[in-house]
Parts: sequence; C-alpha cells; structure tokens
Amino acid sequence: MLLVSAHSLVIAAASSSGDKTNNFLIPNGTFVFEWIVFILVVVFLAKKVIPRITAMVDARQAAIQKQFEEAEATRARLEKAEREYAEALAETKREATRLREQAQAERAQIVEEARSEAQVRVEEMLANAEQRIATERQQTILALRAEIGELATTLAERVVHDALREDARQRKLVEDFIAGVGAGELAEQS
Amino acid sequence: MIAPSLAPLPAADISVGDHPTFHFVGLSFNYDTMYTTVLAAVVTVAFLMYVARKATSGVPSRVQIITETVLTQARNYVEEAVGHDVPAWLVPFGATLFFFILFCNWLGWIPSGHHPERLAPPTADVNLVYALAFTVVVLYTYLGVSRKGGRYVGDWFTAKPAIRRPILVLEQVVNPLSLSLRLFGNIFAGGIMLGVIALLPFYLFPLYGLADFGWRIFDSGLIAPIQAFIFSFLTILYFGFAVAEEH
Repeated sequence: MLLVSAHSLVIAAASSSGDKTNNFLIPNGTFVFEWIVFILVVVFLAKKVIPRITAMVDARQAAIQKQFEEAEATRARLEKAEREYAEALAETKREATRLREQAQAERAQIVEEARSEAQVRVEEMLANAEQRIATERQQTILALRAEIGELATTLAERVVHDALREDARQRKLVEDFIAGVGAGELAEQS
Repeated sequence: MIAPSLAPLPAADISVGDHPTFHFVGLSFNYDTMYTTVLAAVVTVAFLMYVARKATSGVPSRVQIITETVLTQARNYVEEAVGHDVPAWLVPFGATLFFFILFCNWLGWIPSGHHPERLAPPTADVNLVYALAFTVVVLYTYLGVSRKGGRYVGDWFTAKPAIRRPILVLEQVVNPLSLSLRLFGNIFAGGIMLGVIALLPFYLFPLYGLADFGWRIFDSGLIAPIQAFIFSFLTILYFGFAVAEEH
C-alpha cells in the first residue's frame, strides 16, 4: 500500500510513482475473503430474514387493502340504501299525487252525478207538480161545471118558474143559455 | 487517526489507505478490513434479525418502519427498472447491499483501542467495494443472459444509432468500476479529511474538536447513507439495463 503524506494528498494528489509496493486501487487477496463474507450475508438475509419482514409488510398492506375494500363495500351499501330511499320517496310522492288527482276526479264525478241526479229529481218533481196541477184544474173545472150546472138549473128553475108564466120568448132564452153551457163543456174536453 | 499536531505543516503520515497485512497462499490479506467487514456483516445480520423477530403486521416500531421503507423503496425501484417479473432475490439483494454498506460506512465511529484510534470503514478498502461490484456484475449478467441469451452481448453491437455501440461496450467496464470507486472514494476521502483536520496548524488548534466532530456528523449523517443509497440504487438500475429490450 502506498503511504501517502499530507503534502502529497493536499497539495498534489496521490502519486503512484512512489518507491513503495502496490497501488492502493489494486485489490489483493482480501477481495476473496470480502466476497465470501458478502455472499454469506446476502444469502442468509435474502433467504431467512428479509422474507419475514417483507411478509409483515405484505400482511399489513393486505389488511389495509381489506379494510379499504370493506369501507368501499360499506360506502356502496350506503349509497344503494340512499338511492333506494330516494326512489321510495319519489314513488311515494308520485303515489300521493296520483291519489290526490284520483280523489279530485272522483269528487268532481260525484258532484257531477249528484248534480245530474238532482236535476232529474227536480224535473220529475216539476213534472209531478204540473201533472197534479193539471189534474186539480181538471177536477176543479169538472166540479165548477157541475156547480154551474146546478146554479144554472137553479137559476133556470127560478127564471122558468117566473117566466113560464109570462111568455114563450123568455123560455127560449133559458134554453139557449143551457145549450151554450153544454157546448162550452164539450170544447173544454177536446 | 493521529493525534493533533502542533507543527504548522507537519510531514506526519496519514495512514489512510495503508493496511496491516498478512500473507497466505501467496496472497496478501488486509486483516483490518477483514475484521471490520466481519463486524459490519454481524451488525447487519443482527440488526435485520432483530427487526424480523420484532416485526409485526400491526403497528410497527421505528426501526421496523425504517427497514420496511428501505425494502418497499427497493421493491419500487426494482419494479420500475426491471418490471414486475423479477427474480425473488433481487429486492432482498438490493436492500442487503444498502444496509451492509451503510453499517460499513458507519464503522468509522467505533473506537479501535489502538492506532488509528477509530476503526476504518471497510468500504474505504477497494477489496470490499470491488467484491460488491463483482457480485453485482455477475448477478446482472446472469439475469440478462438468462432473459435474452446471446442477444445480451449481441445487443451491444447492433444497437441503434451506431454511436451507442462503443459506449455500450465501454459501459461494461465503466459501470462496475465507477460503482465501486465512487463508494470507495467517498469513504476513503472521509478518512483523509479526518487526517487533514488532525493536521490543523497549532494556532487553529481550538477548531480541531469542532471540525473533527462536524466532519464526522456530515460524513456519517449524509455521505454514508447517500453512498449506500447510490450504490444500491445504481445496482438496481444496472439490473434494469441488463434486461431492457432494444427498440
């Protein structure tokens, strides 16, 4: 090995032209020993020691991965539940709207039906009333006619009673009157 | 490191780069580097075993978080550079490189009990950084050849535009060399800085403790982790280059 002085190191550089033995950049037998030691270290560590540490790293990463996946699955479930909830809510709202519309339609229909039924009843009642009025009028007319007949008869009897004694001309007047009443009755019935 | 000198510009020897050696089957061995390398290896293994034993998939401790961060970062870089279809050893390899280099770099804090007074990081010795880079090259070449077969080498000579071809060939030498020497240079220079600080002239002597401590904080807090990161990050990138398909 070269013995280097402070001067040669600091001022110049290491010079290999010394009268000493070897350049220190040339390896010697130590190389073989160093190589064997290093190979032993590498083989032992690579086979026995480092795999154990690597296994721990992998186990931890697997655990983290698993946790991450579980969190992901939970998140997916939550999202699904939220989506379903929103869908159910929307469905309920649609259903409510539909029911309300249906109820309104039914109400309108019921009102319409009631109105038309009332109309029919009103018309029936009107018809009945008219019928009854007509009947009563008829009866009234008949009753009146009978009464008029009686009155006329009574009047005629009186007139006849007085006039028969007077002259034939008055008797004719009464007969004309009675004939007129009979014709009026016939015209009324037709 | 040597004790602070009172001489203005002493010719004191800075022992960085110098290693006590012994010889065995014709090769020289730096036994200080061997010792510190084994120490760093033991610390690395002990640290990671401690983390693995205490590891939990529940709430992790602080060291577990740090370790897991390094591992997951390594995995991210590997997936980015090489793709998902990667050999199982690549991420542990990158992470081991990071921790091992980091603990090597930090060994400079430990008192040695003799001269130099603190341990020299083994990464300040080319033998270790070359060994690391050699392993990296062997592994990424293996991966590249197993993926692409003969095209792994063939691509260097058929790449378009043609100007890339010599660069690709050159890279095969430059990448491992720059990878190793960058780490070595940074850590080696950190030791030299301590030596230079120790040589402050006597009238700046009051600054010695501050400069020494400040540099150690900077060196261990910033340079050591950054260099460990760069080495392992570039390693992963080179694996990416090795399997990248030419378009």
